[in-house]
Amino acid sequence: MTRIVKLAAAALALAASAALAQTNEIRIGVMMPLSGPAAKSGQETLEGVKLAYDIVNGSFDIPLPFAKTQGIPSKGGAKIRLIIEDHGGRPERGSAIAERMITQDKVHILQGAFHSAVAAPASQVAEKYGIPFLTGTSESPALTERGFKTFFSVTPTANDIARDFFTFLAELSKEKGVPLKSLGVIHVNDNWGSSLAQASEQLYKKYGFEKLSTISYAAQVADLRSEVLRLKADNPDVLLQASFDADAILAMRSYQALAFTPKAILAMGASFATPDFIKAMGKNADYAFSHTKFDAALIQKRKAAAQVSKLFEERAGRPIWDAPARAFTAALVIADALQRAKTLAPEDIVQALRETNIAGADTISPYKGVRFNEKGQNVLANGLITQIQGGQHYAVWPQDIAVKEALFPAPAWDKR
Amino acid sequence: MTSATVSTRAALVVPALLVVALALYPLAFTLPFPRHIVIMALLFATMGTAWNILGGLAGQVSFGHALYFGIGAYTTAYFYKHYALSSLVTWPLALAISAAAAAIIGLPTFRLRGHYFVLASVFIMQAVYIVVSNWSTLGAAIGLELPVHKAADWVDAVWHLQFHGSKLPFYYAALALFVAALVVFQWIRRSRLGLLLNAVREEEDAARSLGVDTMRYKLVALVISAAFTTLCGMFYAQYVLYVEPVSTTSLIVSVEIAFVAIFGGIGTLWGPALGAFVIIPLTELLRAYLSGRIALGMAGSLVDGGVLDYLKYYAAGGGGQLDILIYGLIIILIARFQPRGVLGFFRRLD
Amino acid sequence: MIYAQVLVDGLVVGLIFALVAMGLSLIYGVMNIVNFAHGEFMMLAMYLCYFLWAGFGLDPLGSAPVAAAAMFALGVVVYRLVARHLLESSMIAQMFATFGMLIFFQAFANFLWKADARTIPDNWSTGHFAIGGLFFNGPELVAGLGALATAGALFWFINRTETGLALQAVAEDPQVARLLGVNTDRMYALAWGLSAATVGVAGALLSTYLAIYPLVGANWALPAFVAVAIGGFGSITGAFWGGLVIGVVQTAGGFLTSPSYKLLFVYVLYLVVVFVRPHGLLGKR
Repeated sequence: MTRIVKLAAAALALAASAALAQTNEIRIGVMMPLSGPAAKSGQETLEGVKLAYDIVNGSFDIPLPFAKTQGIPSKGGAKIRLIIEDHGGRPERGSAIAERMITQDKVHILQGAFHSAVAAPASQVAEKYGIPFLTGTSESPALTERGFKTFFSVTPTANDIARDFFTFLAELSKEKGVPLKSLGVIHVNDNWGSSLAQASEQLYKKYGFEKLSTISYAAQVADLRSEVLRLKADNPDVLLQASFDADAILAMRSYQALAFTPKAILAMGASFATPDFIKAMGKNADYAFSHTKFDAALIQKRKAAAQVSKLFEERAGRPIWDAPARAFTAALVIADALQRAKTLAPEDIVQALRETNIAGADTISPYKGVRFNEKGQNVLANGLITQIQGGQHYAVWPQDIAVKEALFPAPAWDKR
Repeated sequence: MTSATVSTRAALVVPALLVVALALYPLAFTLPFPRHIVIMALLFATMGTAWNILGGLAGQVSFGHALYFGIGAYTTAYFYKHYALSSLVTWPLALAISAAAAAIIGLPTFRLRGHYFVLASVFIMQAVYIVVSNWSTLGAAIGLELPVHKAADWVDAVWHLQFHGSKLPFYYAALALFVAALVVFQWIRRSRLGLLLNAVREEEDAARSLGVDTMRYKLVALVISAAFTTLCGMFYAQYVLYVEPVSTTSLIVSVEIAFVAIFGGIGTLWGPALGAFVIIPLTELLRAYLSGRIALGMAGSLVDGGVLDYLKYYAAGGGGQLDILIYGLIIILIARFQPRGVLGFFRRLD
Repeated sequence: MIYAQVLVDGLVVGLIFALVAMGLSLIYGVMNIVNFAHGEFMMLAMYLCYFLWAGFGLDPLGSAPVAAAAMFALGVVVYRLVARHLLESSMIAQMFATFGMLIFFQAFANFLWKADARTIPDNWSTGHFAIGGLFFNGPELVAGLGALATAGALFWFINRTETGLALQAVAEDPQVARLLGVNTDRMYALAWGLSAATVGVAGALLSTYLAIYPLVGANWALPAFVAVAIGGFGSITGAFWGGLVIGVVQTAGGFLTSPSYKLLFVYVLYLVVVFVRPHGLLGKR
């Protein structure tokens, strides 16, 4: 009798391992805007994601976890297969795509979506099915405020960005003895830009500002005259800005033409630090601050940054920048969770994500690390602030990443 | 039996079969995605048919219908998010707002003719978009998210109009809306109102000189058209659970609604439905099966690729939108050769 | 003082709107067709100037004549291939044909040159200065003045040359014009060519400081449509003044209340004007 039982057990074990060997892939659903106004950013962000998983799946000599191994070691070297779809910025597509990826493609985890308005309904679908949804790029604080069990955000939210700005300004103000009382915010009127305005409204008083003027402009604006005239009339001490590349140049030129010089201009995102911007503005680009989550300065502080940037450049035609770098980091967070997860069942992956504890040094991002609170938000997320000096941008904050000291306040245009 | 009754009966057979087929579809296709495609197609078919009441029957081409869609979507979203009252409760309010908006907009703009009216509808649409995307009560550019509710029982589910994510109730609601729109359209067309709208469309001046209150009938057409569009907006909000300006109250949405009708056949009963059922599934399926695969296949930069790789990269939205290019070309060709829309190929006289 | 600045800024941008609007009005006046793809000619001209600058270092202001000529040719081609066949079509068909062209050209630009914005960092007009207490941005001022000059040239052509008068005759009554020996087909082609050329010049002027991307034409054209509608379709003078009005209303309205609403004033103005005069201030029919 026992011999039959042993034989049966052996046969079962054989069958089980054969089954395991067949599910030798892990499917990750990725949704990004590959068409529509954010197409270019979406495509490059996707390249960041693809690069990360290629590194995981292959063997690379980079000082990153999973670089040298092939696939996810604890899951029998299972390789990651990406299922990608374009959502074009429309929320209803987000939910449809999530549902299809879960029910038809049977993905283990979802990643996306760049647009917070798409991540919201898509992650609702994921929550319903119990499939984890991880974002490295959608910054709306509302996403984690929902307290979903399966939603995780690696990236700092707009609230974190505003907090970074205000902390930085408070430090500068104290250090240089320049009081800052009034704040201006100019932003493109979409989800991304508005969240900066909202966050500023909530936080400005706490950091000692007395007056706030907020100006928004339509994403596809023909000119910025009214906006800049208004700013000049309000005359804030410092200006926070959320603009796209094209508007950034138009805005700066208008500030110049109307002799509007706030003591500091701080831009969210990379638009005030692009080569085009610097070329277009020349020496008038100097003094502008940018809040970003990737910068060349990181190359000194993050061992893998240089190599990753080079690999990215081979694929996308330019060095890695903010959004793709964040997506890259998020992908590695997923790989880490997959490694630690007991099995590939959704609950186990979710549990592993909850227990994530990655050191910032093991990523290419300036975060202190990756650790999620009970709402799924990475509490160790932060950005870095760069400033353009002499036509180059240098990290100036936080102190452990800074390579130069910040120049503040900015002199008037004609005195440069 | 007269031949008239025979042909009337025959004329009902095909539509009836169609409706039965649509009713059985989700039972055959149980996965969410195939159901979703048809739900969206039904939604646009409904809105296209409703649009057609004003555009096809009354001859007033409007690019401002997204306003009514938005009224439905935002009313639902606002009251559900803040007061947990779903469309089941708020639909009268939404329809009231919709009718009021139709009157406020119709009265001044229906005095305009031809291009002036069309452009007025465009400008009003843009104005509405500016207001909505800056209105903090409606969430401004960020929009409103409707909270998910896990219904305790079926009564609770119906009250909240949330069914644990099941698509079946939504599917049949969309089908019902579609059938209702078709019925109303056909009824209007065959009624006295239809004759009057015909007169307005073809010879407005003559009609007015005969004492017809053309303004009144245009308004009636608009209010009915707007009402259906508002119901669709409410449906959308309950279905997607996220409402924001670009996908609900923008010129793009207006154009999509109008286009479905014009592509399929303006002024015909089945034109908008045909347009919707061709375009929506095509777009959804192309995007689902092509965009990802091509995005995955391409190496990102245009390295060493031949012409085919180039094209594939661009088709995926990489350089941009080969599909939209073709779309535009088709529109031009249709306008040039068959302005009656696709249905025009099958009919000699309408 | 700042109000004077607002006025001046409004006029400068209004001049460019005026130029764009005039071309649009011209086609309508002659053929009764609203060209929804009008802005796309401007966009293509901007790209042309960009590539001439990127490839040969040509200053976009110097490229303006090239842009004008190229757009003229394109306008004529579009007329021959599409517009000519729409003369007898319904308004809807005409509308959709030009709308199809809008989509086509935008997607075409997207296809070839991607969605990223390009800028020409500087040219000889770059710089800024102040006169009295008023601030001027070099490129914008030059663009405004260039628009004024081009508008003047167009106006002169229409009103002071024989061909221009022939155009007016066709606009007035094509049948009579034909009887008088005017080649209406040629005049229609000319209208399209001129319309595209003038908006092409506007594009060249704008390329000195505005970002260039596939949707830029559509964004600029929309207020210009309002300008034409307010000034009255078919009246070039009306379009010119309409453009100025739009520019000032937009800038002032936005400044006085909130810049987010600046275009709202433009649209409301349209509704007010057509409520009082349904064919615009100076429009025909």
